[in-house]
Amino acid sequence: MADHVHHSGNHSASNRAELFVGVAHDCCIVAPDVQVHIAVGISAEDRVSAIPRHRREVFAGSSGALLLEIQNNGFVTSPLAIDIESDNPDFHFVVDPTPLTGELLERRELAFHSSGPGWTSLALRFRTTSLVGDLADRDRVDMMIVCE
Amino acid sequence: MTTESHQDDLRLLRTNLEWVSRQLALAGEPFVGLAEATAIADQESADLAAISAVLADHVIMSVELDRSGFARSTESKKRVETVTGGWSHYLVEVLNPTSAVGRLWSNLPDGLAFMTARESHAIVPALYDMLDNAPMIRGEGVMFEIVGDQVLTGARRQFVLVAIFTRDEGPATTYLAISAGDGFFGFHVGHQGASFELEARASIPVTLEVRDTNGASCTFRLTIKDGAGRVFPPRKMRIAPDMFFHDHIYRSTGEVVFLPPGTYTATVTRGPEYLCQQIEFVVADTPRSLEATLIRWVTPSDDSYYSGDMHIHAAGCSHYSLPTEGVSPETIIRHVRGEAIDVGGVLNWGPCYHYQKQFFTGSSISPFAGLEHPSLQEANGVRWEATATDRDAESVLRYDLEVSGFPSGHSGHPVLLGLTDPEYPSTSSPKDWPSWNLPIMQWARAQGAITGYAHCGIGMGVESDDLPNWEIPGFASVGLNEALVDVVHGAIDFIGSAQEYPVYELNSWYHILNAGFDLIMMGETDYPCLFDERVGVGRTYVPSGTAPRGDRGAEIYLAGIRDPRTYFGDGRSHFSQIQLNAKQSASGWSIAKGESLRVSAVVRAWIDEDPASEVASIRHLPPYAGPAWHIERARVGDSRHVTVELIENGLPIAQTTVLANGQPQAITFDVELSESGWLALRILPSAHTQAFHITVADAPARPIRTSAEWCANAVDRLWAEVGKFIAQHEREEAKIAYAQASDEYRRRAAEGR
Repeated sequence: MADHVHHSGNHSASNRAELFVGVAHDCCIVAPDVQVHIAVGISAEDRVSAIPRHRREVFAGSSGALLLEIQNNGFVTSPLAIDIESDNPDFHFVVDPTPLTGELLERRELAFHSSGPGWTSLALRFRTTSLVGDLADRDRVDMMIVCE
Repeated sequence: MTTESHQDDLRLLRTNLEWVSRQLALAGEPFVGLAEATAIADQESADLAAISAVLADHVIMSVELDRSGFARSTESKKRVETVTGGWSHYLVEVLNPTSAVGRLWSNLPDGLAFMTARESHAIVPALYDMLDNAPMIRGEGVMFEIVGDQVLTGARRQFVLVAIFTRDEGPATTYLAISAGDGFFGFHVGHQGASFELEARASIPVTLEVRDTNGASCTFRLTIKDGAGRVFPPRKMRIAPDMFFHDHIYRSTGEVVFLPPGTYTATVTRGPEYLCQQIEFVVADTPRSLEATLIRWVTPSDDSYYSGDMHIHAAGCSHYSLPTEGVSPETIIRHVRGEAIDVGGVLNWGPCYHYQKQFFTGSSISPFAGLEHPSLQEANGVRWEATATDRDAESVLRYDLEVSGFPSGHSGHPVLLGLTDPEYPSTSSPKDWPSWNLPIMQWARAQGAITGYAHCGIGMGVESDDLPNWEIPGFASVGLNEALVDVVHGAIDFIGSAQEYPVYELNSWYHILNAGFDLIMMGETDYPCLFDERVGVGRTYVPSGTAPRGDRGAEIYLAGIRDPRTYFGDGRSHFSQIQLNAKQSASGWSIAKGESLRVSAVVRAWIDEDPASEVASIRHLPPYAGPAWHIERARVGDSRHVTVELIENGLPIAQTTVLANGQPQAITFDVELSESGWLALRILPSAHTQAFHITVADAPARPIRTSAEWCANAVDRLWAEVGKFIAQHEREEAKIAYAQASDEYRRRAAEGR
């Protein structure tokens, strides 16, 4: 549980078209705030789901941060762990290890740094204390970050 | 065009065609002309157009991309033949004059296809909230898929393998667009796609003549895959009773699946008490049957043990909420029967609470496993009819309650079994319920319910892998939590487990027992919240002289739950004929000072004979990765043996190994106990009995000081973690109850050994 950050290369992202459609699974509601990049839902049963605002986020420069909005219906106070797969070995995230507050709504930043301009394909899988991932991949976000 | 770039094109095209050929071989659908096209590509002076000409019959669309990856022009066939219930493969010729590289995208133009594009998301969960969803389901009968991980290679001519799934027989019109580039936004309004007329011919009915060991008809778990690994029926096209988050389905003897001609592998079983059997079969152009006799390797009921999974949900988590507010008892009973579970506890909870409440009857039910919501079934093209089986009466459901998604969720999730009244007094909605659990437990106990806490290991992670250990967990989630308090107040019977890393689950149980409180541990699944895989991942086996059948079935089962010979686990190892050669009373067993105690039992376990098999690889997973409870993790080295332990107050005092080949293995432990305490048998992490309380020389068991201290400190930590979430008007009362619990643990610690 200690290492919440890892990178594994050669991730081949899904070749399937996806749209953010605003249809939330139970307990996961996308806030209307346009700054939020990923809405993370934690169900009453400590089940995690995540929906990106967009599949492709463009940032100026080689550093930035994704804003996560976490709706915590499980009163969970563990850290929000993120398993990260990327096709760019020069792209790094810094995951905030601070435990969640247990409050219904909180926001976190997921800071990143890239060695230069270009796009990085990412698969982010969110989890808390539960050992079991989501068979239907609702805890996973596939997205692209473009550094200009 | 330079010679060099032409050779690059040919090289890429050869690789492209070889890959397509391999995929089609897996799918059992070879293309005429593909070998010829590949041979042409092998020639240095090959004409790319000649390759297209050879493959023309298989190309449904030709797309020319611009520099950005947008489709600049599209030409298509006007009529495409498919088969219902299966995938038909075609090629899309991609002309790429600028040698662009990147991802490939496909889509349908409108409606649900956008929303269902994600690999494992089905149509139904993505439905809009409409008065009648049948028209929308009916309109989503075609899927396109770019096979595998194909990308735009940079070749100026490329053939992309696509698959078309058609649900309904007859003609249909559909549409396909292909785009490429570094993101989804290759699509835009008015993008270049093409319409097709589909003509789908009917698939072939396959009657399932799968029977139980003795020839009885039954409900079973069935997974059908073709050579390419595709699952039938496709997950995206499923509605209940078939789950979009499963590969498998549940069917009964005599029911029918519809498959296109081809070669398939069926995997059949009825849960962990049965072996998994794989059957290869071919579907030709005429109806056929699929015959198999299931192999049951253990029959706990022969030893008067009955299985239960008392933590199943019919709504929320992976179930869809729209349009049906979860699934019906007819669907859940099909799953329970398909896993050969005697008793299923279906727990209403926050999501869809008011809708699902209608199924609470205060008694056990065993409904016919019919197909729910006929209008949606019809809209989804379902053509099979449900059948009753000889085994139907052997499984019952009881609808009860998990207090989850309620105001007290931070304090853990009460599971209330055997309720006669599911409505907390003076409430009309879950939001009105108490914001801590003790009042709820006391109210449930007052009506005779069995009460406990679900998934006790969640949020209980510690650094230590020792069992027991004395680290105080963070109570970071919805695990054991207030059970530590409520057990002191005599308000709970059990905690739920067989889900998480056993150290997280068992450690607190052992400490509570060592502090002198009696508490049962039950195996449960929490389907489909903690586990999507199936019901019965965690189970509890209860000894009973009466089979739990009929409208009192669950009550019969629950009446036996306090028997210490009850065991729980993954259903892959079993205890029976548990005997202690000591004087038995209502509170346990007693022996004289210095008297030897013999504990004997019969153990049956099954692990795969091949330690290198796929299922055996589970043992190499981290212990806290799912499935945490699985007998493969108990395998001794590469042998087929597992270790059975006798524990005293949570510590092993004797052990033996048994051959896990399904045959009964008698075990005997002779031990001497210096003080009163408790014993249990376990095969970690697969099966664990309850605590056998042993009195030595008529002396009551003294609490173990360090365990009682652990409990006291844990209560303090728990209050610090969750006390702030308790409503202001209830906090003082809760604080007192917590303090009483903490004081009682400390008192016992002071008196302890």
